[in-house]
Amino acid sequence: MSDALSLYLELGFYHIVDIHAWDHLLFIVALMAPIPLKAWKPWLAALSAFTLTHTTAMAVQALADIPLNKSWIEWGVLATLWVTAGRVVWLKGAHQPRAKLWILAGLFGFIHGAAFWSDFAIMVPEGAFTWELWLGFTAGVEGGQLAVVAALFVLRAILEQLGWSLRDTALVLGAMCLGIALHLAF
Amino acid sequence: MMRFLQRSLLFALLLVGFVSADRHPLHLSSATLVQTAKNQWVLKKTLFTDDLEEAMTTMGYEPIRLSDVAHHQAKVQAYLDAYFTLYKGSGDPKTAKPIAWTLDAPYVYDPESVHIVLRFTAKPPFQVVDGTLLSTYADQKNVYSVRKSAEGWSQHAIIDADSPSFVVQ
Repeated sequence: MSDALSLYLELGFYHIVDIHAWDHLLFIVALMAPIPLKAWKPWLAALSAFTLTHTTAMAVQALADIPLNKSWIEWGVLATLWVTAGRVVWLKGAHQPRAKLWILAGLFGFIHGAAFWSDFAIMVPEGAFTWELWLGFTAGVEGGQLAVVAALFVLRAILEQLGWSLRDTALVLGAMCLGIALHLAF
Repeated sequence: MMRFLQRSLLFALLLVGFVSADRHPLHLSSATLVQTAKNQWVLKKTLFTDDLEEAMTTMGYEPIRLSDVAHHQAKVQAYLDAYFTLYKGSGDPKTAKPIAWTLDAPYVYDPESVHIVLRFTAKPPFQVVDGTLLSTYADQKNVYSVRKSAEGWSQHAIIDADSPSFVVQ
């Protein structure tokens, strides 16, 4: 692996797996919290749709560099968090097998992709963009995302052993995400 | 009773979230290091304006606004003198000889970022020790791309608190 690829892989990974990266991290938690591990189709579909659209958004930005207002993107990401965490709280942590969560995840992926690009653009010195750096960062983001999902599933399994139902866990996580998301707005 | 407890817990969690979080801070600077002629190097570095202002304030200066370029050029120079060093070779910086550099004046200001240009003469290998913003922000990363010829970027490096230097080969 080249030094460029590994460096930007690391940057992408820790861009997500970062205790301060509330926005992206909590969105993934709120999105996945109510879905049982056994219901692999809904969570895989939601995760895949989110990955596909935020990667597409980053690729489009790399090719076209559409000027976007950074402040609007930040508010957009927060809005995705409010909706996703708010939904969990509204449904009291219940998983709705028929809900097409992948559509929501896919739409919100475009907004998160724009945010990822905005941050990535800062990480690349002026004039030094290459697709290798883009690939490293994108792969790192995906790796970080998978690590967060894996940690969430492990946490849920531990709480389940302690007598918490999936619904209770999802409700608590959703409430926490919504609380932080509301705070981030002010 | 359970419903009351559940609602209390939810309220507590909302409150915890409400007082504990901050938006995702991005503590980064980026730089290109380009060899323009044999052993002649130009380093162009971009730093977030608010980060640099904060770092310079904690260094002991009065709270400053870098928009006043003429007034603060010398302070930026002093800050870089304290935190940015180049050394000959790839050995221990304690025993290596420093390489002199010059800062272009004036630095370029915009509300979001400050752009500085350093020039120096050095024969690779040499070390870049860039401590700018590292002592102010524990998660600060200074990203570098190096180009020695027209063939493209030959090296990329990240400087952070764990590895505050890199060697240009």
